[in-house]
Amino acid sequence: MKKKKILIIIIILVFCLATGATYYFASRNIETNKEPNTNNQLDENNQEIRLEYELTREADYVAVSVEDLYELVDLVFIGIKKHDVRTYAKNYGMIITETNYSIKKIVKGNYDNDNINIHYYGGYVTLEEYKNSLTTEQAEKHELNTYSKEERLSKYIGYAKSEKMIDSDVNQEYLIFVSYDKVNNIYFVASDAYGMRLINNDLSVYNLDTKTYEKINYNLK
Amino acid sequence: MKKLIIFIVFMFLCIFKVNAATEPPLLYGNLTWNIENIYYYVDSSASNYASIIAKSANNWVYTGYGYNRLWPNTRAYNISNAAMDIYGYSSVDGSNGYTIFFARTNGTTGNIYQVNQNSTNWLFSEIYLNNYYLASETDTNKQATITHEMGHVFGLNENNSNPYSIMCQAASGRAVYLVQQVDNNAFNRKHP
Repeated sequence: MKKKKILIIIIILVFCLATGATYYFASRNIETNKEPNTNNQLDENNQEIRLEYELTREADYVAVSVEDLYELVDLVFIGIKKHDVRTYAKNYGMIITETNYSIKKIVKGNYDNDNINIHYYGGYVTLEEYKNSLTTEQAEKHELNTYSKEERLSKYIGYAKSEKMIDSDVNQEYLIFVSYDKVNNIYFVASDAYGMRLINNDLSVYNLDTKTYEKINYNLK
Repeated sequence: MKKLIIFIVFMFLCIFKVNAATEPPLLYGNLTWNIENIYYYVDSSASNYASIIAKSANNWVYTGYGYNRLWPNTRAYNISNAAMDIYGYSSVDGSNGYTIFFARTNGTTGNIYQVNQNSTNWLFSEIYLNNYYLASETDTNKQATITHEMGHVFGLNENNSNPYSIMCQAASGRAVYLVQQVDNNAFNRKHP
């Protein structure tokens, strides 16, 4: 009888603890995460460009872990950024940058060249180019027609800096996951910055979620 | 011994309950459109998703987990009446879809501009559905992506630690396609 009572007390205690923990975890997540509104970019001469419009997004990624990205894409390689080629807008306002990389090592797939041009969401374009990628109804809703064409040609829209968006540096090494787009004959980086990861000297790879460098199961030597 | 097993099972269930009850965090900004007058617009590029979008929209109104203020969340055929505009595209970009946010430069007047959802309120949003990946998905997985993106429009953030939340990303193992209690709770915190 005494044992039963002790057991009931333990169960009640565990229940209370669990309920408390649930409330604690839920409360922690109520906290919002505020990020600074940077609203500027650097051009190819390292001059600051003020963005008239700032673009950010929340994506439902298909893959974010190294293992899942490896399975998803056609080509995985260690690349060194050389130079940006161009930035353009398409598909109802997506801003895409094409960048040239030299290939140091191919980890998955085949590619018969030492250099590759890859495309990813990033960079900035003029309001005019952006407007031209929108539908007529979309451009009207965005009220871009309230700018003169001259203004649209001199003002810029681009992605806000964010840890999930690609922000690569010249001569920096990255582990890059790209898929081949047959329709447009281009290679596109998968899952934004999850698909372009910094590599340390010891060949550990940056994890965006844990914010640490980790060893991975693929041979990068 | 029997009691010990019962105790361990109970502990496991309690710990599982902690995980399952984690509510989605909230974006700092919020949708300023009247939450009781929400409509969505479907561009011709996303017309093949129209019936599934309608299910997702209806699910956010009738979650099965009690009241929320969202109404009517039905389709508008005039884009200017819609709080969320839905487009389709095709890219090997690694995402099923995404949402972007728009506001006016000085609150109620001035030009529309795209906004950082973690620092500013937004007037309306655009949802983009990626045909490249969704085309081969089941209707329930398509619905999960659309419902997830609508959650962003309403101000909910990713909830990747809880696969039993619609705000968990597909890549993090989302195991549900309908709005859950935790999601409705978060909605009600955002739109009390």
